[in-house]
Amino acid sequence: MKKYQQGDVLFVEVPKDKWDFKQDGNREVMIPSKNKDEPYRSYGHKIETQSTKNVDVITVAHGEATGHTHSFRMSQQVTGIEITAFGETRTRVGSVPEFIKITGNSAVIKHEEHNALTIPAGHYKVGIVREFDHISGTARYVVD
Amino acid sequence: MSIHIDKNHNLDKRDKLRDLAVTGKQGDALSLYAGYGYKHLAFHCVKMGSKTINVYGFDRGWYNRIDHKIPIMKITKDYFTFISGNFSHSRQHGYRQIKDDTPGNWSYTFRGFLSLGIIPYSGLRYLRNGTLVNFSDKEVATFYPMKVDWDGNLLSRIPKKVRAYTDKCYKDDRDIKNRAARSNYGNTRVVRLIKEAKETDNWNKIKPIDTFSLTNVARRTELIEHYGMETILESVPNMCVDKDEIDGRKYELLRFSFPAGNIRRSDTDTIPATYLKMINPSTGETCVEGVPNNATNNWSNDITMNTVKAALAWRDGDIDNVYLEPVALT
Repeated sequence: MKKYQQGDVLFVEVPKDKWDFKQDGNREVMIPSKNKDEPYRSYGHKIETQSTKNVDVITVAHGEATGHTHSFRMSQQVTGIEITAFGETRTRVGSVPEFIKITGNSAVIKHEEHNALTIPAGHYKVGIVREFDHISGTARYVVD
Repeated sequence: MSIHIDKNHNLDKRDKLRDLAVTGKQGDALSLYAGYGYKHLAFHCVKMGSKTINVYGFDRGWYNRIDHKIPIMKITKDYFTFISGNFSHSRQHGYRQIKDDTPGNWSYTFRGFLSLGIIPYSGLRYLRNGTLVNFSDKEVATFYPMKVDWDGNLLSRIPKKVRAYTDKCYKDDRDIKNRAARSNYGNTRVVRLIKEAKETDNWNKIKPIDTFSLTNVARRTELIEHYGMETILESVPNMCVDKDEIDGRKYELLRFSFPAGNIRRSDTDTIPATYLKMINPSTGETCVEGVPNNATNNWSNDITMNTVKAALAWRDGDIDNVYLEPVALT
């Protein structure tokens, strides 16, 4: 399992035997394979929420105070790449995908304060790093 | 937070259930459907003998398997007895199911039956670490078996451990609320002071230690840029627990002694607080982010977070707390 990280955003490679893909009309659907072991708590399907067939930018994390974003911009990718986002996590500043699938070639993700990150074609779980607040005694996802 | 109890629309069901208990014959049965929020639950009440009704729970959804062989409660003309033993819908803690006899435990069927409003003057309240049930203004952590009469009076003697657990629920809930409020107040206050300082160019009202009150990393970086990391670190006693270099990136695990007054106003002690100091590989900025003092359990007071890799594994949510090094990090 491989992990790629840009600032506070993590892309953890999903093992191929964990999920299958199925075309459902004009959308793609992620279906959990029979093996439902950790770390992918696959209680249900993940429906395609965005695809670069229809949109030019897929944002995987929004900044709260800065307005910066971690985004795949199709105008800055080499041709032949297709990125599909599955599932949806709602945050205070907008919805972001739970999984992404990159096909065709390596994709580049950009952010205003981080160097560009090249992610090889594959299937990834999108995560945000956590931090612990010792005053409230709680853990939370890092927000910038 | 509590459940909705339908106090008006199920009086006929209460009468029918009472009739079943008083005049029903062996084998007579009555079906009840739980109230708002628990519509997926059905209760089948079967008269078992001359006096007792056994109530069995059924789930009309697909995701919750109730053991139909074990009654969830028994009813007589005098009282209801909520029974433990149906583990299929007890509270889960990770993958470990908590036994029904744990005070403060809830079960779907218990909540579902209360939501019918058949037992008057009842209520249920969820605190952060336990469920409290209220019968005739007597609030106590749930325990089983629990006997309640038809007027909503708790008949069971409250065990000593349940009383103690109820007090603990109140105390823990108060502490958690206070800490969250203090954190929120600290963050809001420092954000306001930074805004004022930028407008007036007067930073005297902000202390370097206020950096740790900010919840937003970008705002924290602003203060670090203003004061410098060394000044901030000097403002709070700290020691370096571990240093590591991973793929050319330097990390330090720091243990601060925070004034406990930040958390409990009256306290004059200090509390340990572990932070990871790292450098943004793209911009070269230094930042500090909190990690729990305990490597495996956020809630524990034991200090076991002693290595940079354990802190990074927690930060990234890696499996089994083993740090998976990123192939690329920018």
